[in-house]
Amino acid sequence: MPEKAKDYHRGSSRKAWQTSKLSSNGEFSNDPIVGSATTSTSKVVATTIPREGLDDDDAYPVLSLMTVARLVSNVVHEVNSPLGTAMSSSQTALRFLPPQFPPQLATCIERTISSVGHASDAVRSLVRFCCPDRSLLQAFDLRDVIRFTVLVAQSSESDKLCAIDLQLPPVPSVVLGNPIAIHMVIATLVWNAKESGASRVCVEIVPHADKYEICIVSNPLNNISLDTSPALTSPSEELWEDVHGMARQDWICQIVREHGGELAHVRRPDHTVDAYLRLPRDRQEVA
Amino acid sequence: MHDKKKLLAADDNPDNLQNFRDILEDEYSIVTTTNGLDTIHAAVLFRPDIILLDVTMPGVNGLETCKKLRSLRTLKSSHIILVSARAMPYEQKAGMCAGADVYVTKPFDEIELRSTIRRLLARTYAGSDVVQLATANRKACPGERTPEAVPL
Repeated sequence: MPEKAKDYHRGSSRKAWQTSKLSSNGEFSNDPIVGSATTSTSKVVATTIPREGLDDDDAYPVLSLMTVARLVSNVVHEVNSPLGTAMSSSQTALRFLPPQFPPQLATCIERTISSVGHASDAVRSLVRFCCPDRSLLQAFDLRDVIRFTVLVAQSSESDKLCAIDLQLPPVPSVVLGNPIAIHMVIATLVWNAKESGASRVCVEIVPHADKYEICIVSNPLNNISLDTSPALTSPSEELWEDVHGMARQDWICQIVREHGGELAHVRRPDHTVDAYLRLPRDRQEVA
Repeated sequence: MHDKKKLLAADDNPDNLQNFRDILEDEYSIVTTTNGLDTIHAAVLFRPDIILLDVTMPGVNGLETCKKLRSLRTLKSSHIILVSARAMPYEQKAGMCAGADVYVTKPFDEIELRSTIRRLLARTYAGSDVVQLATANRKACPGERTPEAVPL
C-alpha cells in the first residue's frame, strides 16, 4: 500500500485507496467493506491530481455561475423588500384616500403601483433566468465542480493545513443538473470533513453504469464521535453565511433529492467516516 | 356581529407590520411581533388562526420559527403563511419544507393576500385537509433521520 494510503487507513483496506492501488491496471473490483460493487465495465484510471496542477481557468465556468446565482439571490431579496413595502403602502394609501382629494393624486398612486408591478416582473424574469425548469438544466462535468470546490476549500493558508487529494477519472463525468447547487453540497461535505480535524481528505469520483459516486474520505475525524457524526453533512456556517435566513440543513438533502441522487455515509470501526454522494449520469451520456 | 379571526404577523421591519395592519385590521384581530422567539411565545398565548411570518428575521429566523410552531400541538389548526422577499425557487421550497401552508413572495397584491387567507380559513372551517396537506409537504421533504439516510 502506498504511503499515502497508510495515512488514511492505518492498515485497513479502504475503497478510495484500493482504487488508487488498482489504477495502474485501470480496473476496479468489489469493495469488501462497503459492499457495493463497482462495475467492472467502467474502466477508469483514477489519478491523483496534484494541487499545483489545478488551474483557476478550470473552475472559471462554475465560479462565474456560482457568483451569478448568489448575486441574483441577494439582489432579488434586496430589491423585493422595498418593492413589497412600496406596493403595500401605495395600495393602502389608495384605499384610504378621501373622496375630496384631487383625482391626480389617485392617478399618481396608481402609477406607482403599476411601476412597482413592472419592477416586480423584471425581478421574476431574473429569477426564472437563474433557476430554469428542471427540463432546462444543464449537463456539466462533475470534475469541474470538484476542482472548483477544492480551489475554494484551499483558498487560504490555514485551509492548506488539511491536504485535499483528488482522484478524478480522465474522461468527463457528466450529470444533469445545477452545478452551483452540487458545488454547495460537495463543498459542505469537504468543509466539514476538514473542520472535523482531518489531516487529509480524499475526494474521488467512482463511475458506475448508471451513476457517479463521489466519495469523500477523511481520516481521522478526530472530533467527530458516533454521536456527533451528523455534523458531517451539516452545512458549514462559513459556507452558507450568505444565505442567511434559510433553513440551511434542509437544502443539502433537497438539492441531492432534486438531482435524483442520494447521500450516505459509512462509519468505520477506526472512527473514520466516508461520505458518499451518488448522482445519476446524464441520460444522453449513458445512451 | 361575529368574532374576528386572530392573525399574528411577524416581521422585523415595522413598516411591513404597519402595512399588514392597514390591509387586514378591518377583518382580523392582529398581534404583531418582530422576531422569531417573540412569535413563538405570542403564538402560544394568542393561538392565532393565521400566522404571517417573514423569513429573514434576526435571531431565530422565519423557517426555524415555522418548524417550531408546527411542532406545537396547540397550534395544529393555525395556518402559516411565509411572506418573504426571497424569491428563488429553492428558497420557496425550503419554506414549504419548514411546514408553511403558503409561501407569498414580496411584493404581493393585497387582494391576493386577503384571498389567500380567506381560502385557508375556508378550508379549515369546511373540514378540509389543509393540515394533512401541510403534513404531507413536510413528509415530502427530506430531513427525517433514518438509519440508512444521512441524518441532517
